Amino acid sequence: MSVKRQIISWICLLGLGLLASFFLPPYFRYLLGLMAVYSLASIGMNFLTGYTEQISLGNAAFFGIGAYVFAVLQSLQINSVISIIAGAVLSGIIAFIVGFLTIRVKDIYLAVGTLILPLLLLQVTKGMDITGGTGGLSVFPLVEQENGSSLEVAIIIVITSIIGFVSSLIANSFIGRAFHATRLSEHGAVARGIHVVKYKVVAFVLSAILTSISGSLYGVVVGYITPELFQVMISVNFLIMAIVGGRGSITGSLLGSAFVVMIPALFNVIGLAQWQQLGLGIGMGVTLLLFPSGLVGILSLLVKRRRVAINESKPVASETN
Amino acid sequence: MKANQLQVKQIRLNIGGVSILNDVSFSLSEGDRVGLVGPNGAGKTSVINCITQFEKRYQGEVTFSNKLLNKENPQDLPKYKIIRTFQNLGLFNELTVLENFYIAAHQSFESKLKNVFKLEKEVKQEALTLLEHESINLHDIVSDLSYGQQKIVEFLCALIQRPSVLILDEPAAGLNDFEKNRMIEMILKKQQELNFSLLVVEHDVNFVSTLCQNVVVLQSGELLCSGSPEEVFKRKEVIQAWIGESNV
Repeated sequence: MSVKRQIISWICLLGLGLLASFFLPPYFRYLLGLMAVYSLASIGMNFLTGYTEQISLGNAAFFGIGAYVFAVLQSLQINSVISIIAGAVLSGIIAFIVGFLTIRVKDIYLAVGTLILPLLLLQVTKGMDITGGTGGLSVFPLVEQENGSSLEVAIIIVITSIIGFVSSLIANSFIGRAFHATRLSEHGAVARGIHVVKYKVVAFVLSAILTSISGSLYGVVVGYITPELFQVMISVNFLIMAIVGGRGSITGSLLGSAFVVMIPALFNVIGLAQWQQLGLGIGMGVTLLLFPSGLVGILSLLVKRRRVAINESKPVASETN
Repeated sequence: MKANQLQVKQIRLNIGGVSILNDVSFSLSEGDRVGLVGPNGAGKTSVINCITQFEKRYQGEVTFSNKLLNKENPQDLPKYKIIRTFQNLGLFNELTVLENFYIAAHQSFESKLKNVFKLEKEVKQEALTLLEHESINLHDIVSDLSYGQQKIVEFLCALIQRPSVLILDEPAAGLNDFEKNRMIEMILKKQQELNFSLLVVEHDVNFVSTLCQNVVVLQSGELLCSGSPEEVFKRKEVIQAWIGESNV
């Protein structure tokens, strides 16, 4: 996608998000905030799983690190932006080390290997006073004013849109193409001069940074954090977002986060809250059965049909080049 | 006399006690078109894997313009403009033709970080020029193309890397006679335009005879003989190696 089209798409998305943040009722505004926050973790997981085919069950660790670093630094009166960046930098450094250590491990072995970090951090946060023990920590709002939640969700949407746009630029640049090449044919990538190990580590670090920022903002939306953020199910949820949304696609990541937030919420709204997880499971199954390439496959199908229709309406000579 | 550009000296490769290559030596000079031929299992692909450092377990020397390549990693070979293709295609099937061209030019993107948008335009323009006269659209998904078209795209992607030495692994495999002739025409035309040396691994005797000035014949990992195609393909030992002693 050209840069111009990416800018237009993200501005439209930002505009819609801002409008919604001011006009939606509180519950849906909260869901909108969650979707925005999860979309970053979903993009992060997609860089790892969708783009470079490295399966990680450890991303909950970076989500938790982002949330806890933000909450602890906030309690020390440190600026919110610096707190978010601090969590992201710490996650990036840890991811670099983990990524480098696990680079020779693949597939399910990598998934299991990456589990160590969140399990370790789960115990550490439960046992430490500074992290609030099993009770966790409260996170204060970004905007200290009455009815400030609209503005807060709007700020979160602006932040996630900017980071999403940068992610989109990376995905459409030579870095994103190197990620794809690494996944599709390692030999082919190497023959084109792509340093496969380097790009796998880059994807790991990028994924950790995005997940960490997502964790920091999650605390703001929900208002408190607990060690449960390091649970495996959190990583699994990110994986579901990336796969159901569409592997190797930023748009798919956004659709995936909307799916994981909205399906249970829908059951909640219609008074079937106890069936939320079942609904999510059935929704996932149906989506992947009909569109194995994820929700973004629906869009791809529409674009492809349109392209075929345009090509068919052109004379043969103009089809080429 | 032309200087040797690529030299393969006494390559030996043993894997699990089995001798794959035994003392294979040959060289390639600037502008040469050399065919590396032999029956199945002769070790042709192993030789190019050693040259391009995908295979590191060999003994012997591979030099390019007198620089020893043994300690280089395979991803560093494009730096020396030694470019290869693969027998089973090294394309990225889910991506478009244009994205495959961009990936082929990856090293240029890494080295010109400031001008990536300009470089994208240049690569696109060059890809369009290379695809002139081909019924292939830049936005076609590679897996939607015919096998022959994919072979052409892989060859053209290799060209965008501006090779000094181009190593083609079975470029005629899976092509019909018409496509083979087109491939030969295209390779000869592009070699003349871009002036690279060519090393072709191929089974097809007619393809190699038409394309190459010299051939190197391998049998069971050993160098059987080398020379011009007319001379080599008449030799009894080559015919025996190809179709078996009892059929000669």
